[in-house]
Amino acid sequence: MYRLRAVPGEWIDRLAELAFEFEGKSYTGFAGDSISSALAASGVMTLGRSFKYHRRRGIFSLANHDANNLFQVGDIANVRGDVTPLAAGMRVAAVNTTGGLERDRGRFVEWLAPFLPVGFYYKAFHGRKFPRWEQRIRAMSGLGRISAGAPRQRTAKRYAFCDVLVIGAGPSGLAAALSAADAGARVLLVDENAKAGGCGPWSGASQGELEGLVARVAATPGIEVLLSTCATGYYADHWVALVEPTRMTKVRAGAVVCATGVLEQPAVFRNNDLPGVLLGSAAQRLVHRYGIAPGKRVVILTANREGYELARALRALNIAVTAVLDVRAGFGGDAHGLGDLRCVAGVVPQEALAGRGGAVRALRVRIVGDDARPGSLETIACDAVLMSVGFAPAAALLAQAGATLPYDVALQQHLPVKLPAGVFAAGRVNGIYDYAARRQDGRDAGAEAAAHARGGHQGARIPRPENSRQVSHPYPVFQHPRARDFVDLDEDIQVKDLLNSAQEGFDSTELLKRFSTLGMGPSQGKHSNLHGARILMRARGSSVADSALTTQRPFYHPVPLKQLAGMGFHPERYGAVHDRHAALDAKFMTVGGWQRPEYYHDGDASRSDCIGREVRAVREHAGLIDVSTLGKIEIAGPDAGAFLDRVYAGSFSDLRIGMTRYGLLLDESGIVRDDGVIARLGEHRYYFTTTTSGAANVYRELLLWNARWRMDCAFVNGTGHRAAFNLAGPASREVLQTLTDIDLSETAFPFLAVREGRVAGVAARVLRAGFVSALGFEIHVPYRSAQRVWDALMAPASGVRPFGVEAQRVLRLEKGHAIVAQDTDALTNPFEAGLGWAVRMGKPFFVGQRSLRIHVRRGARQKLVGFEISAGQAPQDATVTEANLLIQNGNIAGRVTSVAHSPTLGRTIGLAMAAPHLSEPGSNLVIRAADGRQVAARVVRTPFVGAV
Amino acid sequence: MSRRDAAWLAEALPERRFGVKGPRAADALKQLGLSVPPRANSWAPLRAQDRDDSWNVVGRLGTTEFFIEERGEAAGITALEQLTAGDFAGAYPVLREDSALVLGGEAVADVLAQVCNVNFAALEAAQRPVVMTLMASVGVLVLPQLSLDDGAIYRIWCDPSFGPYLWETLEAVVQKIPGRSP
Repeated sequence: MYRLRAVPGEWIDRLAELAFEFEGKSYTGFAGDSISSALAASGVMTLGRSFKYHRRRGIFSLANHDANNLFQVGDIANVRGDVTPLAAGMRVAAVNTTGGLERDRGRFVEWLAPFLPVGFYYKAFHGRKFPRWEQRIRAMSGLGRISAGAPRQRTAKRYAFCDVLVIGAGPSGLAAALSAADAGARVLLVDENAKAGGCGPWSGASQGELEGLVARVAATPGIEVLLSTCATGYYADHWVALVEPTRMTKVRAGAVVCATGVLEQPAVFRNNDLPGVLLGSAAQRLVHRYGIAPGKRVVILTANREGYELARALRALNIAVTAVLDVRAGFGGDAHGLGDLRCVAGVVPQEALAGRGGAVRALRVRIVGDDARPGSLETIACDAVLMSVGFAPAAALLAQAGATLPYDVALQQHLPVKLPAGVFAAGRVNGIYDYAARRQDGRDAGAEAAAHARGGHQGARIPRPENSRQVSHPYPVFQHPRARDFVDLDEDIQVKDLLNSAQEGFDSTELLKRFSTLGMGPSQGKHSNLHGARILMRARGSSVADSALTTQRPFYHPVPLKQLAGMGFHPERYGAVHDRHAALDAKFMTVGGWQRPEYYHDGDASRSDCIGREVRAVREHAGLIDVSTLGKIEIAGPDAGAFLDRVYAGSFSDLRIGMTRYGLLLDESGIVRDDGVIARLGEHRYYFTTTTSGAANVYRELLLWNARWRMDCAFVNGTGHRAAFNLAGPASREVLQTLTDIDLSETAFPFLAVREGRVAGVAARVLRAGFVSALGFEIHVPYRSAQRVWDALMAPASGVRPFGVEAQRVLRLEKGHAIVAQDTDALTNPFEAGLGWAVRMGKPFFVGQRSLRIHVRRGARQKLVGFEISAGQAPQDATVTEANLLIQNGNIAGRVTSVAHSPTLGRTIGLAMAAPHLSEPGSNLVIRAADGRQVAARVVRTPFVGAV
Repeated sequence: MSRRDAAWLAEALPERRFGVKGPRAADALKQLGLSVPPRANSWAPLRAQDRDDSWNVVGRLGTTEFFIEERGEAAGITALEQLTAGDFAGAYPVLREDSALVLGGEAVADVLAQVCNVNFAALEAAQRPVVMTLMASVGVLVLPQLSLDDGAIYRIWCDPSFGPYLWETLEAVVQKIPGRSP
């Protein structure tokens, strides 16, 4: 390959020379070159090694599908050389090599080919051989090198909207965009190439005509053009994923026109993978985009008019074409005007021969002629073999949209015959190859798409023109007895592999794909799936028309993970006094999306000492914890009490105003879902808490239930709008009384009461709580006033110490309180959790009641019990952790759900879900600790700590 | 940040905010002479005499739910608080302590497109739409408004506990929009 003089319409800027490195050697290219084209122009034929056999590979399609042109560029792996623009200073290396591209030690794998048959992975991974094979294969497989230290690249993701999305900016796509815009639609036109025009320059359009079309599109205000943008997935309601070079766009269109064209398919013959053997369209791209001649002595292997057009194009640029070899019996008028060029019909390719350096040096063919006699063998010297034997539609997006794509035997191509509403096809994907007809098809599709986007009209598509011609050979597969006739260049799959797969029983396209890995490489079968189906169906004595297309799932084209990840939105919630916690040197933890103090650092004290001090402060004086993360929901209306009775397992319509009651929320199978405290503020007003992580779900569920029941009540989720603090400990009443106008005396404000008043001058709701201590007050205030209240409670004179989540866990454990979702799981009913006292089975109805009756009849499978580690086992105490198993007679008899060292008691206590027969106080438990040792424990009554 | 930037983000002043909900919520507003937006997901200046670029607004979030923001002494909100705290059945007070932000600039659509899947360009500010949606995975209330000084602006409210996160996220997106002043 070599660089030509300037070619009209070429993409490169010959005045901007760029220096780069490939495999440690210096090269130059031009701005506008791709990595592959710059190397090709420098005469580099071998660009990579194949995945399995490490065979030399060069440019093949130059259409964003060249799996063997993947490169490592600096820290970035899997760079697609056939489309990635060259940049100055790039350091490019081949992938999948050991010891460099030329001296790759992996090339010896090909010698082992007889021992690596199709399905090798499945067979090798079976049984005891697996670990040995796994080690070897892991060491050898993978393309490129991921740099674990590379910084995360946060790329934008965005949404876009348009009336008509046109995918493909070739002649039919350009025509569709203009037509839709003329009809008043807002059009988004996308194309994966760096410039619009598609295959126009080599498929009938004059340069001036095409440039005029592109210029009209650019000048039309209603059309936005996105180039270097791949439409990779179609989703319901015309959502399409677009992958741009640096971001992903999710576009919602009123209608979609797929002018996605076709994918050229190779001929399959021995050594059809040598560098220098490439698709005819790849040669056209080399010539028209990059001004590169594919060779000095070119042979064209063809089965359609496009092959002869290619010959004309090359000769016009003074590139020597040695012969056009037609695998058809005759070439009709296709060779018209080629004068002295040798054109031969009835050719059967035998094999390509490699020269020094591994690139093609000759093509050996058998010339059969019209009478199908064995014919004569001929070796034709050449340095490029260009294949133009047929196409497959780039119809993956149409298939994802739900189009029906039967195989048209007349055209030897799958064609869309039934399209979903709002989805249109145009151009070559529609089986239309002639330039004028494609443009007309595009215009029609654009107009109909615009009409659909305006009013949902799905017009009748214009029937395919009668002058559609067959451009695809029905079976351009020429199996060779010595194989190396590659169907899939991504995975090195040969004809015999597919035949053997079929013989082994994998005789449907889906099974064949999975067993042989056909189409599972980076190009996802774009050049191999159709041939695979042809080979399979012929082996079955059937026609490809009888086979089903393999499922076309998004993404149609690989998407960089950084673009899928986008900016990475991970909402974090901060309480109203977060800054105060930070000032107190809190160690934060994430709980249900909230940043909460785990504990507060205290000088150089250890974590456990800090937590211990916080626990003691609550037991001996008073501690303050920020419980703003609790769900806080209000319900008001005449039916509020009745509604709560139906949703919660307890009874609340009979709750006295000014009092609270523990509430237990079950699901319909009687399993504990959430809990909280329900306060009655007025005749028709209730205020209740939920767990931190359950707030949003509980609120959503309440709305759902009321949408069904239509009761007269309204709900407000005030979780984030209200802060809450729990002031707990024997001195809490004394501290709080100095800050509030509410009478906190035992008679005026008994246990479980709720009062509204002012705390530190702020309107507050105060609940008498006993979760962590016998005496405690939950103070709920508006978010923006919360700092004032916190500061007042934390005034130095109060002697109040802040405590965090960990101390709270210890404190509530000492009180024997279970935490939903920690001490219960997705199978725990209230009776098993020791919460039967909160259930009113006698009520007419509540959610989960019917299932709970069944649970009661069946009896408990497990019971939540308190335990303490027996004295004298101190060294082992620390090894017992949550989720450790209870063991009895070698069997699992339960698990630890909570465990902690109690600073108050001076020993380790916990809760465990135990088999019912182990639940009686005094029962002995054996816990298998994290380090495997068995620790003795004893079931005890809760609470562990009494009236403090 | 400068108002001349292609896109800008500002924190709204801590105005008073309030909500009212229930089958007679609209009646409560009417009784106090406050505007009642005619349909769900729309807004109106709090009082009939206020202009469309007024900071005092009432948004109708559903058939029976309203959100109010008012500057200064906030007499409307005070009256509404008193009314709903009393025995006005069927209209219930809603504590609103939202964080409030304002997005603007010629490229504001680019910012919104990166954080939200609503097609704001299709909304006509003159129709006074209100949108409840997710922005950067956080539930928000968005009110597109025509400002006499700055063209279209978007007033955004969210749960106050998400305020710092939403601010940081939007700020990061805004800063990457080309055309910001140094």
